[in-house]
Amino acid sequence: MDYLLLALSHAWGLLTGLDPDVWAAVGTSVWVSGAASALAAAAAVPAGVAVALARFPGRQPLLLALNTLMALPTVVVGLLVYGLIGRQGPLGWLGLLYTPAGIVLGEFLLVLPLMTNLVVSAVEGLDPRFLQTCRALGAGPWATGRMALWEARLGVLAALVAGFGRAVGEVGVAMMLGGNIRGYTRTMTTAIALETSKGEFELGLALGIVLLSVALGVNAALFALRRRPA
Amino acid sequence: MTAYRAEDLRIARGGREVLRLERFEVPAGGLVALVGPNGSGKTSLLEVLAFLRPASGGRLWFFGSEVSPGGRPPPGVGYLPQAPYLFDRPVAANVAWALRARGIRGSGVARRVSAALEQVGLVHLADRRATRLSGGEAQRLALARVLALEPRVLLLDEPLNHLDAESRERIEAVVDAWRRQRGTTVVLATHDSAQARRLGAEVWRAGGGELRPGGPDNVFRGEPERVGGDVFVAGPLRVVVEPLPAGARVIEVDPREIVLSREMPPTSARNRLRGTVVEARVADGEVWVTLDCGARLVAVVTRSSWQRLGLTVGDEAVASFKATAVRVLGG
Repeated sequence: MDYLLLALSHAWGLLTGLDPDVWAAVGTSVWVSGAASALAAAAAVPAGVAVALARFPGRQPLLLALNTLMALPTVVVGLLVYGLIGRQGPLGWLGLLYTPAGIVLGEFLLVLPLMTNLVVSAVEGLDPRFLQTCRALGAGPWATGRMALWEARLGVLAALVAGFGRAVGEVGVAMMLGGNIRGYTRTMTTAIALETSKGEFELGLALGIVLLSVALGVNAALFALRRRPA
Repeated sequence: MTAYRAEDLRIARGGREVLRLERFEVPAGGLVALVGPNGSGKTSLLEVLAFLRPASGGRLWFFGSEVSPGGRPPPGVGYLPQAPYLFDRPVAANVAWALRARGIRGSGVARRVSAALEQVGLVHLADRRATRLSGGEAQRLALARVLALEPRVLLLDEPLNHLDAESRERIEAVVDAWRRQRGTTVVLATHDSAQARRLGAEVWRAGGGELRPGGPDNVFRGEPERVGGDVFVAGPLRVVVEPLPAGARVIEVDPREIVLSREMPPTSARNRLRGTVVEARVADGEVWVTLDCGARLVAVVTRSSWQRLGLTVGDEAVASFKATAVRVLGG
């Protein structure tokens, strides 16, 4: 117990003492996961609304696939993208391996099915009278989709937050595609894994605290938005 | 010119046929009321007329051109459901969205929005969030949203149910004004036959799985036998009514309040009328029995009690109902 408390106070010292290594990893984590989430959102939101509202052949298999991909292991994504952007891979000439952009690509693919699925659920969860009203008023698919996005905005926002949470908290993609290069592709999660294995428990703990704080901050913002008097 | 014409139109809900219209016509500019108890298929019929639900059979014409099932509704139909859905936006934005969704843009939008809100008396609430309106205000906003599109036909589902007096009067006045000034056709569904009569509507009766022209079931004209008494005389019928106002001229007996039996039953019901079974129709698990007691009386019984009674057309039966089950509809 004393050991844990001591480690905690050391960790606190590292944070308040603005250890540059700690904050570099934090910065990389936030911007890389943020960029991956933003790109995924740009694709997942329109796709999710369209899948929720449209009826087309192959829709059920698509939903099943999206559901399955939600549980995609991060190392599998890392492996597939490694094959794609590695030196021998078809996209190897882009030089993305062991760069932040490589992690962005991997996390984008990781988060995309999760976000799309949650957006589909949010829109499908709307009052059934919503669609009937749009049809009765003669609205086309474009106007209906935009209004559906507005009506389901809280659920859509929750989908984006869930996607960011998955991206910022994963290790597999960041490790395999980023390579944990200090000051460049080292993220909070890869740093925690490395420091702990080196015996630097305090540093790992400090990063763990920041990681939790980021998650707490994002979720608190969403919570406040939901609770805001309508 | 007819707004709607239907031939042998069938309406199904959940795969089961609920209503059949052998012949149905709504004249352009007319006011038609669909009267029938809850569950008789009125809402499903309105959804078919609003092109939101395909008919399961038959043919339908809208202003002379035949309508194929499915597809985007043609412009000109304004449908106001019983519990309208409002978008979680300001009141004015709800109306403006409906216009833009129909491709109307520019300065005309603001003008038409304020004109529509003006008619239903919601101008002062234009910036209020629609989800914060009271039931009556919500109904009026939904009407404004429909009116802004300048419909040729208004389909109203129980439009005046459970509303405050102001909203009821507003809606009635607006619908009446549109009918008189613009010749808008109105079809309204109601379970309240008195309302249909008050509005001067042409009444179609939904019940027993069919839609037929004419008044609702079991409505009788007559007058009290004597002032202060409780017997209402309507031609050959003598019905005990409690309470019976001196000015009563029309009464209605709910078909579901009538109990059928073979013999004179020893009940406390003060109305026991003997008659002959002239028709029995099965619809939706129930049997609609028409009894000739001098005047025609319709009773609804469950299928199992009908089988237990073992009655057939031509048999004698007794219809019993309480004096308090009779509604007085006024003059």
